[in-house]
Amino acid sequence: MSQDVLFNWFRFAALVVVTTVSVFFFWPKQEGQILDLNLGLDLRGGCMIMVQIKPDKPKTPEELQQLLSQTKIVLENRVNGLGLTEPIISEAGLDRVLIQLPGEQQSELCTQITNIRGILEFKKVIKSTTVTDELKTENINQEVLKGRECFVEKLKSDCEEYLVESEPLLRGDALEAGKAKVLITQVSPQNPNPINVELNMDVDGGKEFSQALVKVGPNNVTDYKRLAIVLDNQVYSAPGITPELYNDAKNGRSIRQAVITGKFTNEQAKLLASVLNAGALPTAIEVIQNATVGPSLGKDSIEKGLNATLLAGLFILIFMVFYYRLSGLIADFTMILNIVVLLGMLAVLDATLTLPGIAGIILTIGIGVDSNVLIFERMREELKTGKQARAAIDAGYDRALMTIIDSHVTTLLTGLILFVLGAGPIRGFAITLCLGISINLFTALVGTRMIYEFLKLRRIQKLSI
Amino acid sequence: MFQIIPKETHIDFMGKRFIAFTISGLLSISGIVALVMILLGNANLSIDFAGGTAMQISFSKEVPLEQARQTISDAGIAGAELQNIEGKNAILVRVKKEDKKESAADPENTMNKRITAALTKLDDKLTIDSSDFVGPNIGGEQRDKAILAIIFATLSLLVYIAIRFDYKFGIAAALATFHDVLAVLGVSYFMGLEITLLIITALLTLAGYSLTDTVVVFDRIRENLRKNPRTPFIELLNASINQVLSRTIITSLTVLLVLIALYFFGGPVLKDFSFALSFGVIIGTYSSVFVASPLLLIWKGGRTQGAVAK
Repeated sequence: MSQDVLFNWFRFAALVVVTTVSVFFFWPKQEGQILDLNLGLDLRGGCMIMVQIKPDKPKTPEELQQLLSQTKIVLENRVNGLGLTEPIISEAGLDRVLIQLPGEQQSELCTQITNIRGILEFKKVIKSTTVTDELKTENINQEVLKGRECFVEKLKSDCEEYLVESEPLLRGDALEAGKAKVLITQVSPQNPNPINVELNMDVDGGKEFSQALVKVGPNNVTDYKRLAIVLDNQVYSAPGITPELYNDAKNGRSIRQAVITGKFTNEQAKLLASVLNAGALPTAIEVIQNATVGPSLGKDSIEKGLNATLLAGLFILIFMVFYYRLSGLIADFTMILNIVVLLGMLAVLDATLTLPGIAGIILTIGIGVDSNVLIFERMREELKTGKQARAAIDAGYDRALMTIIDSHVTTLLTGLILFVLGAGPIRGFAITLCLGISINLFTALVGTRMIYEFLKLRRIQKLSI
Repeated sequence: MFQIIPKETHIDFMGKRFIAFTISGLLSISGIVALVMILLGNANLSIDFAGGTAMQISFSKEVPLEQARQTISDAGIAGAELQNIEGKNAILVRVKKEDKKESAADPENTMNKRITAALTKLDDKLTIDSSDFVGPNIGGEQRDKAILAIIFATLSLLVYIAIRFDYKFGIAAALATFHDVLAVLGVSYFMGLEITLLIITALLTLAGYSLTDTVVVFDRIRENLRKNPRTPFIELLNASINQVLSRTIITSLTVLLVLIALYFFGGPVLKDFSFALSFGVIIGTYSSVFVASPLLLIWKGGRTQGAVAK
């Protein structure tokens, strides 16, 4: 075997390995997945919030940095309480935090994270009512608070008012930061409400909690005693205290863990957990950007993107075969290879696929055939000058090589600039375009070339082009 | 073998350069007007750049656009733009440059909540498909970044071409690329397209594509300069363009084909993007032939000699 042939088989092996590995990486691993790729918020639904910290007086860069990381931690605690999959919280620039919550949650939860100042108190409920303007304070140690529902347009019918003791029994700092969570238990006749919220106290907080419980007293049918959970002067929940828990508290035991039960929906439970995890922010913040995409729009976009990609691919496949015959078929083969490797790379790099990203893939299909068109047109020219098939193949590749490299580098340059300066979905476009173009250079020079080398071995006289 | 272009063409492209310069001049002026308008804040900038709130809302029943508009204006929301979404019982509501004091006074009552509350009166089973809020500072930043990106892209492409060819080729290619960006920006502006982040992305992509196209033509010019240094430059340019003509047309066609797929089937988000890019591909192809190459000719004064190839 000559060295050329050996080299060609090596090329073949490299191609097979790269393709197999790619397919392995993007192949769906769970049921319901189309491909094993990270989808951007615009495709899977979810929300993104950018907040800017607003210190009341000018800070040195070090102080600002410290404020920023503190803010980030508080926001992280709030988000973690929601029990969402893959939330991303990152610092952006000198004074910003970016929160990304993928998935199908309500935008209510998303604004919840940033809209609260974070002053969390537990207060003793004296009376509560669903009828407005009935509760009056009886002395200066009392106040009337409204329930969370009263502030949400859709829930106003459930609006409840509470007469509470002004002095809180317990403050938010008694809670162990970020430990409150939604607890889902088995449904049984004794346990009809499976969705609960668990809260945890720190060492000192356990004692304080115990004392607070004693002050409120045990819940029973005739005398409804409750402890209001108040965040920024809104009552989020007012659970009663079970006799068992009360007895434990009365016996002087430190209570570091408790479960709030009730007819919670999953959303309500998440909201309550996030409230318990609120924590006070070290500084004022302002939401400077906020994007929410509902899951139905995301699904719609995926579907449209897929359709457009398939259609664009089909156009090109047919056109190339029609115009370049066998050579066109070879180009089609490289185009498919190109997409396979591109998807594999996206999976390996853990890159995020956005809707503009899909547009980038489609554009890669269109621009990608250019390498082949350049080579084929050159081969045709060489054939016209009377060259043999084999010589025309070699000349086509050699002469077109520099042009192909130039054209790829120029597109890559703009892609890189988009990647550096772009944000969010645009970055997704830049990633697929840059990767697509780089892979295209590889497949055009290795993939198609290999096939032609094999054809040359058969000493062809005529080139189907 | 099947061919779109006859075997050998001998079109006198350079002879038409004065017509081309007129067209290109007009296109560039429209682009400059658009650019000035954007910088003055008079263009149809999206909330990406202008700041504001945009929401897509699906209704569970038929809600006439007029009725929705009335309800929103009754709720005291000024300057809202409403628009139906094709093929869906949904509308797009945009409020640009909202009153900052008003929204800052009550962070709970943001613009998207006010819009939702108003429209809930018409249909209490509506769903929010998407909601975007961009603060005025972010908008300004994104605008600056977009302008910076276009300048950087043009400069870096100029440097690359200057290294690969020589500076004359580099400047001709960069001018042609800049011309394309301006032309598409101008046409988008005068067609009333909303200037979004995606449109800027389209402009930058087109810059890359247009340069690719120019590079192919320039490569052939350089090759021919080496082979036939004595041919008059104008003839050499015409010959080079004719030689790569079939490639130019086929590549443009394939890219246009995929963009057409994207335009009709990619959904409303990508519609303007694919339009701007389609137009860009046509302009990019035109400019390699009728702008970049004639610029070389002007530079060389139609003379034969000149060291070009590196």
